[in-house]
Amino acid sequence: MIKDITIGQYYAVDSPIHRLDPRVKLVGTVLFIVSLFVAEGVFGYLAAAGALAFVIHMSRVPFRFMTRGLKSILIIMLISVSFNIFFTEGTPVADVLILRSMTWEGLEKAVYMAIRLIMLILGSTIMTLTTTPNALTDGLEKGLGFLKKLHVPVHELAMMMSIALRFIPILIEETDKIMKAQTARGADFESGGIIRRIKAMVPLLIPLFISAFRRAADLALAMEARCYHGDANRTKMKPLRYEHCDRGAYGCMAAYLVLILILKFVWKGWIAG
Amino acid sequence: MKMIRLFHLMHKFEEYNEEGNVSGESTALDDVSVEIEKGSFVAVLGHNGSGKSTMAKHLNSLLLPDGGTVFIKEYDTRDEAHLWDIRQTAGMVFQNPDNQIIANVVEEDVAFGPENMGVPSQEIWKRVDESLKKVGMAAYRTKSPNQLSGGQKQRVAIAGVMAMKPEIIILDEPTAMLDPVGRMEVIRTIHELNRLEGITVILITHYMEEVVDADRVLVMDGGKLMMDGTPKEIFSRAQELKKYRLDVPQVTELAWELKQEGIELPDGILTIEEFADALCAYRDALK
Repeated sequence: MIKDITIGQYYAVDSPIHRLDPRVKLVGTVLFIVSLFVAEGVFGYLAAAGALAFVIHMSRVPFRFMTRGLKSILIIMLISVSFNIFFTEGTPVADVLILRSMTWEGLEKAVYMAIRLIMLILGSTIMTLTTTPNALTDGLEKGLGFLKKLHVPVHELAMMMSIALRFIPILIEETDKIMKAQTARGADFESGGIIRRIKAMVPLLIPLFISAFRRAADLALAMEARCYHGDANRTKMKPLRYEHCDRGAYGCMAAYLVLILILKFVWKGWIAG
Repeated sequence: MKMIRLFHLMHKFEEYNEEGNVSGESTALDDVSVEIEKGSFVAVLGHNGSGKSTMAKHLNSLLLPDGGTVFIKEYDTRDEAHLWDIRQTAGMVFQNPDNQIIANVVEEDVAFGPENMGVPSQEIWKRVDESLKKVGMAAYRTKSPNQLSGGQKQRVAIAGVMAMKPEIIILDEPTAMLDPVGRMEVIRTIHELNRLEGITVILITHYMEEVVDADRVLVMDGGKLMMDGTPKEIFSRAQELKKYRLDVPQVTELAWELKQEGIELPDGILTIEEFADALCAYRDALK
């Protein structure tokens, strides 16, 4: 049924990665992405790939779920790869036809670029596959808590995000209902060109917006009646607390970064020497 | 002890014309005075626009009086220093079950109230456990609210209020959007809370059957408090109720009609059992 849809792409299974604190996973993902841009040379990339393979294995999410995300960036990847191949200065591959404008340096760059992009997508997919949107919101709220000092309304933004997550299925169901009601009265959402179809959406969107505003007003009232007053003096039922394995994960991340840096300088020395 | 005291409560709404300017005022509550005893189950009846929902919002400081005074226990609702005490003492359940559930998981929604009050985490867990048990929803604690039926959602909302340890629960037409099964679940739950936990219940409704088991019934019309008494007293005045566009329960109506035709039945019959007993007594008397 339409109301059973899941938001995000959380894959429900119990694994050490799933159990990690969402903040660890957020920091880990950012660090991994940074490391991809820092890493240099074959060994650096091998280390990154090794780390990625290890985490994927630990997460117990089937690999085909990870590769789904790759399809969406296929075109971007093709474009950037071909730009790299054709527009990098250097020695041409061969002296015939199109190969004349391809360079060895370009090919090398393109391969690295492709690997980097693939690993970047895989890395961030693991986070969304192993963390529920709610946990992610909690993690962002707590992890970005320091921004409150700069008057960024972190708590309010997180609350808005979690309320949005709660209401998306409800509003989808409502859209479905309005659509059926309008169809019953002769509205046509399916035929005609793009312009006509967009115009046909108007009688769908207006009632949807009105009802969304009404729901928002109701919800605000209900929240006030339950003593909501922002995050001043607010406690949490499930406060985020670092456990042993979270600290361990931070340790692994640090070790991984050091390894990447060492490999980078070793590689540079090797090239130079 | 008096839990709620209203003294000459007035509430006015401003009316707007098409340009959005104030064009007049309408009186939603007009000189309402009533006192409600601790632990009682009070039903408030009234047609649409009778002011019953407006009154409910006054009991939680969601609206403030334009005239008169509202006391919840010893707190004046206009006293901002006690705003959170009032909202914690008098919990409120609304009509639409979807629009009052905030979290994506049942147990986290029940925790929302205590979280706002700054209750320590361990105590929150305890309260969530207890409240979900009290409304019979403990088995659903890790479910998403979207997977629940209307009646179940409404019970989660009641649990959310219970977790704040209120002394009064105000329910503003909690069953209006539910099917008969859900309606029964909710009504049974609030009766249990009233009986077992000693919670003062204010049930606003327009379903007559829900009123029958109340200790006291208030009837409102046009912003005024028109009738006040036990269900028996109120329903024996069927003619008066009709004037306020309210119906008496079907059996009461039938008994009343029979009485008009000269059959000796007592006043204010509320349930089918009572009606059957009265008819039997009448038959025996005829023999």
